[in-house]
Amino acid sequence: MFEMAAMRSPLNSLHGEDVPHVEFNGITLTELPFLRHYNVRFQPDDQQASSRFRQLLGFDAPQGPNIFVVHEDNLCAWLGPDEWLIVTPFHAKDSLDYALNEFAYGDDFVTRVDISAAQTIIRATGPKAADLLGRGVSYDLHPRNFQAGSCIQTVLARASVTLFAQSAAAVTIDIVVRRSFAEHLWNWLVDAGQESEFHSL
Amino acid sequence: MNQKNRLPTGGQIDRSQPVSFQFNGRTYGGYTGDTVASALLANDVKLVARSLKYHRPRGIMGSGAEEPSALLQVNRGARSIPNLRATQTEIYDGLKVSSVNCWPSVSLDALSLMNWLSPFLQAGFYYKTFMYPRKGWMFYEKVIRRAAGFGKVSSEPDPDRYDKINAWCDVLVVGGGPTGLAAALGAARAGARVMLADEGQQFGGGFLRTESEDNLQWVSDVLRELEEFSEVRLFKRTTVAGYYDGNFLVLNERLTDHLGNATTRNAREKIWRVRAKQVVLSTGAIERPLVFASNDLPGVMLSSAVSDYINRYAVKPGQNAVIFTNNDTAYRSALHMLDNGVGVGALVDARTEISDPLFDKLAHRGVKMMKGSVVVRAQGKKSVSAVEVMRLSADGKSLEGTPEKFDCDLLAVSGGWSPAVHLHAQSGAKPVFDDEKACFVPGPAFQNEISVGAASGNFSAEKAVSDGYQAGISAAHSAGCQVVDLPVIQEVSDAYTSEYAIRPLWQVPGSGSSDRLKRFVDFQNDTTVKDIKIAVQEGYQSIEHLKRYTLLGFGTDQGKLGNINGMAILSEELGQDLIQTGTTTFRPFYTPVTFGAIAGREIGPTFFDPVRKTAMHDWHVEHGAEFENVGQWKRPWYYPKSGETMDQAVNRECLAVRKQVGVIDASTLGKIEIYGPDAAEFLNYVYTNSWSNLPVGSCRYGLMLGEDGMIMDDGVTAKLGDNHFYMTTTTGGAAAVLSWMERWRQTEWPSMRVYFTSVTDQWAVISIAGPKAREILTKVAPTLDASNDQFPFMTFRDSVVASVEARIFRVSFSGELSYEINVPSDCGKDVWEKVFEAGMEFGITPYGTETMHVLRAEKGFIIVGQDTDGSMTPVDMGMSWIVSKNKDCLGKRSLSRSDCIREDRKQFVGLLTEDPNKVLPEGAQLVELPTDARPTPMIGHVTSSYFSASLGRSIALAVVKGGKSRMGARIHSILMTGESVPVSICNPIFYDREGERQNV
Amino acid sequence: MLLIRCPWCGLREQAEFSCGGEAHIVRPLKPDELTDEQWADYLFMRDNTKGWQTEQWVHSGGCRRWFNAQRDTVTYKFGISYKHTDPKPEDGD
Repeated sequence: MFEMAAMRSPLNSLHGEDVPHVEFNGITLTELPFLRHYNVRFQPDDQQASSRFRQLLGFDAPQGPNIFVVHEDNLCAWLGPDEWLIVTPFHAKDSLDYALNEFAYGDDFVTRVDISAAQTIIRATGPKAADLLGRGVSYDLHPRNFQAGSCIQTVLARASVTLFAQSAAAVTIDIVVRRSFAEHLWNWLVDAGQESEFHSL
Repeated sequence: MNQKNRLPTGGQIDRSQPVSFQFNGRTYGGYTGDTVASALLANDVKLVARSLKYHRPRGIMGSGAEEPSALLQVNRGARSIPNLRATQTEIYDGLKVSSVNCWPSVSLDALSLMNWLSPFLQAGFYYKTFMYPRKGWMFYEKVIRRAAGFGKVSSEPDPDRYDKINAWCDVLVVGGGPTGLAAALGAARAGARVMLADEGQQFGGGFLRTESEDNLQWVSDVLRELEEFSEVRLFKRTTVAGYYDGNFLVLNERLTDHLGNATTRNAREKIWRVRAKQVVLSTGAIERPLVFASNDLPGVMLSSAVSDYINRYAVKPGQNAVIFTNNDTAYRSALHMLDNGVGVGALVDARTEISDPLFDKLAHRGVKMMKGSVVVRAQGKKSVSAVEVMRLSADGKSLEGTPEKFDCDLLAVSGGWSPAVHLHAQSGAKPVFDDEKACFVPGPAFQNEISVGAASGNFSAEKAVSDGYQAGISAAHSAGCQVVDLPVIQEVSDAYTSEYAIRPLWQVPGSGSSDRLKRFVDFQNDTTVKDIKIAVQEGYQSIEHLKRYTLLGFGTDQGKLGNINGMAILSEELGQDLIQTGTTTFRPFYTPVTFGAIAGREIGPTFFDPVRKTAMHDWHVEHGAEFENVGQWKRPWYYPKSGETMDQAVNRECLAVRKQVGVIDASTLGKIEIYGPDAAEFLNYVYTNSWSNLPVGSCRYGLMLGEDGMIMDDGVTAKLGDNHFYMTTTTGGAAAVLSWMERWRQTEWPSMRVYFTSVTDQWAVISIAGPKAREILTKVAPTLDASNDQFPFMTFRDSVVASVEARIFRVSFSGELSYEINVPSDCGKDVWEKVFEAGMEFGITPYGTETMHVLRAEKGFIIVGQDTDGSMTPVDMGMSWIVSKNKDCLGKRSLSRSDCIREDRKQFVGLLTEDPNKVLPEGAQLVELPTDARPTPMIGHVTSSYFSASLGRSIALAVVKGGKSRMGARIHSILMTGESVPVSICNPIFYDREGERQNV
Repeated sequence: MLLIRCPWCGLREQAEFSCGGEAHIVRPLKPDELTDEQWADYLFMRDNTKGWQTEQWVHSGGCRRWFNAQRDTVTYKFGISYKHTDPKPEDGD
C-alpha cells in the first residue's frame, strides 16, 4: 500500500543522489549521508562483555580516550569510559545490526541504540581543512596533536561535534554532527570558507 | 606636493609610491609607509586636535600606541572608525581623516572658551555643579554629552566581514623589535611552533628609529631566516590586545584597512584566540613626558618620537629644537636632529652628573648643555615658540636663578622610560617599582611568561638581542622542545652605548610666572597636577579613587603616557613611596579593538545562535508557516491562509483539532533512551511518581523537581521493555534533563546500573490530534489495531506507518484523541506527507505552537517555564496527586519545608475576565483592588492567556496567593496602560473537565 | 579563558565544561528524618572557600562525564582533576 519511504539526509540529499558538495580554496566539503551510527554501552571492566564484543565484532573497542579504530567496514570511536560510537556503511547495516543485537542480547547491562537518523557526517578534505575548522574548534588540530586515528568530542560553531582525523596531516577530517544542527554547521563552514587566506597547519 | 619637512633621503617610506590624502578637508601628500602623523608633520601641520575638556590645541606627541592627543576619525561612510591614533594609521591614496572633538574646525574651535572657564572646571566640577536641582541633570546631561567625547560611529550596518580563529603555539612572542625578533629566532631554531606579533606595519621596533644601517640589515637577516621555518608565523599590524587566564591571549590582526578602498575578499580584521605554552613579552618601553607649565602645546614631543620621525619616516618635526631630559636616551635624539638639519639650541638635563659619552660630542657641535636645569614653561599660542629654563635645586623641590628663554619650534622631552608591562600585569602578575631606573618593571611571573629587553627594564639594545635570543630558546625548552647546541645569534653593536642613568623628575616645581598655568599629567583627559592635588585634599587618596575622580588613565590611551607621572605625583603629595601607591589595574585591551572584530562572524539571524531544524522543516516552509524560536529550534507557530490574521489562523486551527483533526510537528521534544536493570529505580528518584509497577507498553506522565522541590521539567515516559524506557522532556529542557540525570547517576549513585542516550534527533514526531485521529492512523498503519480496547490511552505500540517502523504513543496534550507517531528522522518528511495525504479526506489541518498552547490551556495543562518559573512546587500547581507518598525522590523533602507549606503561596488557578472578549496580557500583575493604597500589594500574575475559539471567550491561567481556596473571588489585573480589568478566579481546567475526549 | 583537565579527555577549553558547584556534598540517605535546618544545610549551605576548593564539573561539550576538580578561587588556577571513584586529594598547588 505504501511505497518504501524516501529517506532524506540532514543536509537534504535524497538517498543516493544530490549529496551536498562544495569546494573553495583547496578545501572540499561533502556530506557522508546514510551511514549507520550506533551508540554502544558496556562496562569496560566487564571481561565477559569485552570478550563477547571482540568475538561478535572482530575487534576490541578502544579503551583510551580521543581515539578511534577501523576494522573492515566498521569505525569504532571512544566517546566515554563506557560509551562508543560505531559507524558503518549502509550496505553493512544488516551484519552490524545482527552482531550488536547478539551483543546486547542476554546481558542486562549492555545496550546499543540506533542513532543513524540522529546524526550525519560532514567530511572536510584538503591540506587547509584544519585551518578552516580552527575558526570554530578550540582544540589544537595541528598534525602533531591531532594525528590520524584521533577522535575528539568538542564544540564547533556552538554545536557539539565529534571530529575524526582520517589521515595524517589532517588532510581529511570527518565531522559528526547532530541532525538538527547539520544545516547550521554546513552554512557556517561554507561562510568561513569565504576567507581567502588559509594556511596549512 | 609640498612636504616642507621631508628629508631628501632615508627613511622606511617608499618614495616611488606617493600618496595623497585629506585631513580636515585639505589635501596633503605623503608616501606609502607614512602614518597620518608622519605625513602631517612632513607637511608642517602641527595642530591636529583639541583636548577633551578644555579644547586646548594639541599636536602629535608620540609615534606609536602611546599617542594621547592626535586622535582621528577615518571617514569611510559605513566603514568609519573614530579615535584612531594618527601615529598608527597608515595613509593610502584617497584616505579621508578628520580631527575629533572640535567644531567647527581644529584651529577655530568654538568650545575653546572652555579653556577660559577652566578655573571652574577642575576635578569634580561636574559632580559638584550639576547636582542641583536634582531633575536638572536630565537637561544638563544632553548639553554636557554634546561637548564631551570623541568621534562618531556610523549608524549604518557594518558592511565588512570579521574573522576569528583559534591557534595554539609553543612560544608566542609579543613585539617585533630587536628583542622579539631575537626571541622568535631562538625559539624557532629550537624547533618550536612560534607566533610573533607586532602592532606596526613593519618589524624592527626601536631599530627603525636608529640611524644605523647595520641594525636594519640585522632585522632583515633575522626576518629572512624566520620566514624559512614552516612552524613560524609572523604577524604584522597585529596587536596582542589581551592576556587572560590559562595563557590565553587575544590578537587583533588588521588585514585590510591599510589597503584603503582596494577591493578584497578578506575579512577586515581577524581575532586570533591563542593558547601559548610560553609567552615572551618583548613589548618594549614607553617614553614618559615631563610635567611643566603648558607642556601640552603642539611642538612638545617625546624625544624617541623625534628620532622615529627623522630616521624612520625622513621627516623633520621642527627646525629649531630644545631638548629637555632627565636621562641619557635623549642624547641620541639630539644627534639625530643635528645630523638631519634640525638645530638644537639647548639640551636641558635635570641631572648634574652626566657620564654619557655623547655629552662632549654634542657640546662640541654647539649645543648649549645645561646641567641641573629644567624647562619650567613652554610658550606659544597654537604651538611652541619658546621655552623658559631655570636651575633645579639639589633636592628637586624648588627652582633657582632667573629664567633663561630659548626660542624653538620643537621641544623634545624625555622623562625616562616605562617598560610596557601591560600584558605582564594583565596575566595576573604584579609589576614592582625599580628605584634606580625609576620605573615599574615586571614582577614574578604568574603565568608562563617572561619579559625581556626594554619590557623588563633593560634598555640596552645589545643586551636586548642576546637576552631575547636566550629567552626564546628557554621558552621553547619549557614548552617541551629538545634544545641542542644552537648557533649564537648575530650580535648588534652600538657605538654610543651608555648605562641608563636617570634623575627621577615627576613634576617640575612651580615658578612664580608659571604657577597659574596648567601642568598636564594625562593629556587625553586634561588631568593636571592641580587636579591631583585637589583630589588628595578632598580625600581621594587611593590611586583607584584618584583615577575615577580626575579621569587619570581613562580613555582610549588608558594613560600610557600619564599614569606613572600621575601615580608619582600622588605619592609625593601623600609623602609615600610609589610602590605604596601602586598602579591601577591594567585591563584588556592594550589598545581599543573594534566591536566588529569582537563579534566576528557569529552575528545576525544566521550565526548568532545555531538554528536547529526538524526533518519536516521544508514542508512547513512550503505550507506558509510562520515560525517561532523555541530555544534554538525553529517551530511552526501557525499556518496562516492567505488574508488571515494570526488570531483568525489560530482560531481556525483550534476548532479543526476540536472538531476534526490536526497535525503538529512535535519532533523538538527531548527524547532519552534509558536502559539498564536499575532504570525503573532511577526513574523513581528523578520523577515524583512511582515507576516500579508500570507495565511494558504503557506510558506515564512524570514531573521532575529540583532538589529544592521546584518543578524543573515534565513529560511522558514509556516503558519499552523490562529494563528499557523512552523519556520525553520539554523542548527547552532536553539537554538540562540529560545532564541532570547523568549527574546523579555518575556522582551520587554510581552503582546504579542504567544508561542514558539522547535520541532527540533520531526521531521525528508527527502528532495527530482530534476526533478523526484514529481514522487517519488506521489508514497509514494498516497492520495496527488502533481500537480503544487494543490501543488504549497512555499506551504505546511498535508498528509500521507508511512502510516505516514507528513507535506510536497514545498520549494527549490537547485533550483530544491523539497519537504521537515517532519515525526515524530520515523518513520524517516522507511519513509526514503521507499522513497528511491520508488525512485530507478528514479535513486534516496543520497547526503550530500557538494553537498547541491554546488547546493545552483550555485543558489546564501547565507548560514548565511558562506557568512555572523555578519557584513553583507541584503543590502550588495543584499537582500533589503526582507526588508519591511511598518513596523518596529528588526534591521531595523540600516540599515539607516550612516555606513550601505556607498557605499563602502563589497557587495555580484559572481566570475569567468579566468581559469575555478581553484577553489579558501574559505577565500582567494581579491585585485585590486597584484602589488599594500604594504600593498596592501584588497577589499574583497571569502566566498564560488566550482567546479560546472553542469556548467563544478569553481564558487565562495565573498564579495567585492562596488562590486554590478563593474560587469565584473577584480580583483585578493591572495593565501597563494603568487600566484595571476585573477578573474572577476559577478552576484552571476550562474544557472537558472529566477528560472524556482523549479516552474515546 | 581557563583550560580545564577532564580526567578522561585531557586539557580542554573552559567553554566545553559546566560547573556544578562544591563537590563532596553527600545527599542524605534518609531526607525524611532530617529537620528543616539539617535539610537546608545540605541544600543551601556551601563553604565558599577563599583559596583551594573542590568542585564538580562536567565535560558537557565532550565526553559528558562529571568529575571533581580543585580550583583556587583567588587565582582561578586549577589543581588536580579526579574521578568520583578516586579519593579526595590534598589541596593543590
